[in-house]
Amino acid sequence: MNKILWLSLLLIVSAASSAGQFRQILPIVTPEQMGDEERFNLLRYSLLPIFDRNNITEAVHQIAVAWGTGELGDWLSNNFLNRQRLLSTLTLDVPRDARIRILGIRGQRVTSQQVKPSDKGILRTTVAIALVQTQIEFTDPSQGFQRLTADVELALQFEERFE
Amino acid sequence: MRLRKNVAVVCLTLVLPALASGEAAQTHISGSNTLRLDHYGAGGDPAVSSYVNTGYHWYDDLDLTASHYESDFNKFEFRLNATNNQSAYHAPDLGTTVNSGSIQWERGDTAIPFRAQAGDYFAYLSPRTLQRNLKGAMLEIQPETKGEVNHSLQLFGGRSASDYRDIDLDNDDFYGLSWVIEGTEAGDFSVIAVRLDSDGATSFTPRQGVYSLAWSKELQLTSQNLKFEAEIAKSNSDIWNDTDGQYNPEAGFGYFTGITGQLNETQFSYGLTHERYSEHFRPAGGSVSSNQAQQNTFVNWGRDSGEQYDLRFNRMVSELESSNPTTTLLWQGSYSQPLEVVATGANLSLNFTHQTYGDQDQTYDERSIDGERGAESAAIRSVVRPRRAWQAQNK
Repeated sequence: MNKILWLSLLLIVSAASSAGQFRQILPIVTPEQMGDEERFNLLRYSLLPIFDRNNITEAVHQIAVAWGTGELGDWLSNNFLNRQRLLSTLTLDVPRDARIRILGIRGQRVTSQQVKPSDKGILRTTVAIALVQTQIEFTDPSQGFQRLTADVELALQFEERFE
Repeated sequence: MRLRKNVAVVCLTLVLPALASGEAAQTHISGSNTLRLDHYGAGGDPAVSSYVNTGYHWYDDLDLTASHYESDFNKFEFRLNATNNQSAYHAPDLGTTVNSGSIQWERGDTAIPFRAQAGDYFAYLSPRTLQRNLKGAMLEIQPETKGEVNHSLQLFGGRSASDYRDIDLDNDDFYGLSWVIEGTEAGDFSVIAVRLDSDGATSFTPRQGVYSLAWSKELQLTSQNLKFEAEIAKSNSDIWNDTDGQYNPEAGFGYFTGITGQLNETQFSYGLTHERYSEHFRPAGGSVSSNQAQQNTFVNWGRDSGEQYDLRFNRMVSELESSNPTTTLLWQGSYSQPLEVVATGANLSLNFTHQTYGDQDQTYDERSIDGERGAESAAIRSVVRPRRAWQAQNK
């Protein structure tokens, strides 16, 4: 039950959700919906481990690596606003030696969580946000070493499958 | 020469155990406290060091979550995240602040199931209306209906701020409603109305109303799972006019249409979208840019062997309602595959980007292609890196 098969991550900073362009209903459980199957599922869900906030920290660092290696597109939702514009700017306009350094991560928190049965067990989808202090570093040919700091809010979607 | 040093001297995390009491009613409390002390030093020229602020820096992060279940249908949840920051790198400001906090009450065994929340509210309604984390309050009701149709009505109000210290009572005050209907034969629907009141210091407008109607529908067509989406939005904003020396009301319009598809039981997906926003469509809490139109197309194919193919095209017209709009054409493609050449595994990826742009007046002649209008840039990049522990997904 508690074995995590895989954990995937999706950066959804500008998307309402990974699945659509507008808000989706997060259902409130009612007695009328509570059949034997739902009761069994609730019991299974209650046995799942709490979402580990360290996942958020680790994800932010992986995104920073992807930013520097041109692989950020792998992490962006298809609904991410101006997705291609961001990626082309990184490729064509950002200096080749530019890297992003994570100075600090704070305010990590889960904003919503949905658990449902799937073909291979249980699928738990967690949306979390984090406030990240970033610093882009590169060497300008005329002005030398440059630092650009920013305080950004990232919205991240995690999917976990449990057997 | 650049030399930097980052030593974590103390990193202490305390985790509170979960508590449970009783069989019917249950309370769970969990949390952690992280105290971290770092020392930063730099040799050589400090101007070329990554860390400008040297010496000792520390912070203390407290995270608490408590939930109380009266029954499966009646539960409370409390979350708190606070920091005492004495580090120049952990947060922009020093001192103690509450980053986020919320109290939520959810009840499903009443005539009208509801969810009430005070504190931080994740107001991600749509890119054309409101996508902000707000600090305020939200009430959601989900009236029960017969059949498969579900309703959700949210009323909310709050201010946009990264923590509770920064809240200015005059700035960026959003309130409104969001009504979502799911499961009708015609598809899912969303109605959104958002109002902004601000003193104009942090927003371009002191007053704005944004209203939208959105629709989506999933269809199973032969072996394809298709999703159609559309949203039309209108904004009314008070915008400063230098000529008149006053704010004048301006209306703006925006719309989005799109179709995405996936072949059943494969990792082959594709999509086509079109969006257009008028000069005065500038939702203060949204994410889209005014005065432009875009078309996007993508095809993505992943194979069981781990190979990934991705091809995308974007056409954007900016300064749309000016006499001289600029058109940008952008092609992007990527290919990646696992390399089973070392025991730990590796991944190869190839990316290309090709972009051309130009305007009607041919004002880009100084960066021209063969003396014609426009400019062109292209790049090909290849990367070999250790495979990630996690799997990224395009969705």
